[in-house]
Amino acid sequence: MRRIANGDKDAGRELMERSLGLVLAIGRRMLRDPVEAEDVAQDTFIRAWKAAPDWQPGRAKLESWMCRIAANLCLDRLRKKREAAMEPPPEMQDGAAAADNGMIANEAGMRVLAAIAALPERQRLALELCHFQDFSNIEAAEKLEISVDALESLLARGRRKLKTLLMPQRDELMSSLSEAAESTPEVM
Amino acid sequence: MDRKQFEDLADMWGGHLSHWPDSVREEADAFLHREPSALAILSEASELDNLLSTALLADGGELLEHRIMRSFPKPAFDADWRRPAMAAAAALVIGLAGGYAGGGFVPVQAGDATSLDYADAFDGLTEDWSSWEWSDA
Repeated sequence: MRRIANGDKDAGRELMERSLGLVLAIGRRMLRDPVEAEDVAQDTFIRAWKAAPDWQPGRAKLESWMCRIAANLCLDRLRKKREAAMEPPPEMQDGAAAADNGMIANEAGMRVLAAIAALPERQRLALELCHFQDFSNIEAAEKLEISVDALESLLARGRRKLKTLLMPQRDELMSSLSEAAESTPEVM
Repeated sequence: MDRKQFEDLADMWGGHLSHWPDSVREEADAFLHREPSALAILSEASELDNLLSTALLADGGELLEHRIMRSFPKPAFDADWRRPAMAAAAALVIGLAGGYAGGGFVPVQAGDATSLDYADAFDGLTEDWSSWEWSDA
């Protein structure tokens, strides 16, 4: 981050190569729109690069910090959309659009993403913050402006629905994942 | 804690007790040690965790990488600005000193009236133009 603060573009590229996959996946899961997810990824790096001079090593893991920036940017976008529409955005029925973009690293991941995309927005966001971003229940409830009880209810309903959708195909998904791991190098 | 509560918590927080809220972790750990079926509940929740982790990464492709790198901020001011500034100042001082010292070696040209002739060429500027009309053009 010190190199980035000094304008070292190569250091900026290194950070991007390390974190882009994570950051982009957050946008895809939370926004379900590949174009918006890319915009959020770009905004995340711009913010991180600009904040580089103030970065304090040891306070948080760099990737975790980047992920939190991305998650917050996604929440801001969703909040603005809700305010603009004054009603929740329509939920996709089957998550097909999210899966069809073909940008998740492997076939199993695309199917899991489709299942996540099929969740109602609040359940999806609760899952994102608590499962993928490791927010505590109190932090996540504050972010979503709901009570801890409501958050836990959303989380339980979301995960149960995913269990119903994904567990019957778990063997197939895991074998697809193993094949992908054997045939391609890791993204990160 | 009973089995139903433990299952609900596993549904919410997954198969790793370390991810569960602090307020319930100790009690859950005690339940795990006294109730044999608790391990199966955690194991099933962990399987879902593993499946979800397959959607952890996305591949943006080169175009997105180029687009992002185009946003890399140009340094507004060279962080190490002192070095070029000092070099410029030193060059200026040496140039001025050299010019001043070298001026003493240039002989003065007696009768050189170039500057006066040049000034004479613009004497017309001192005329009174207040009565000038377009028709004079």
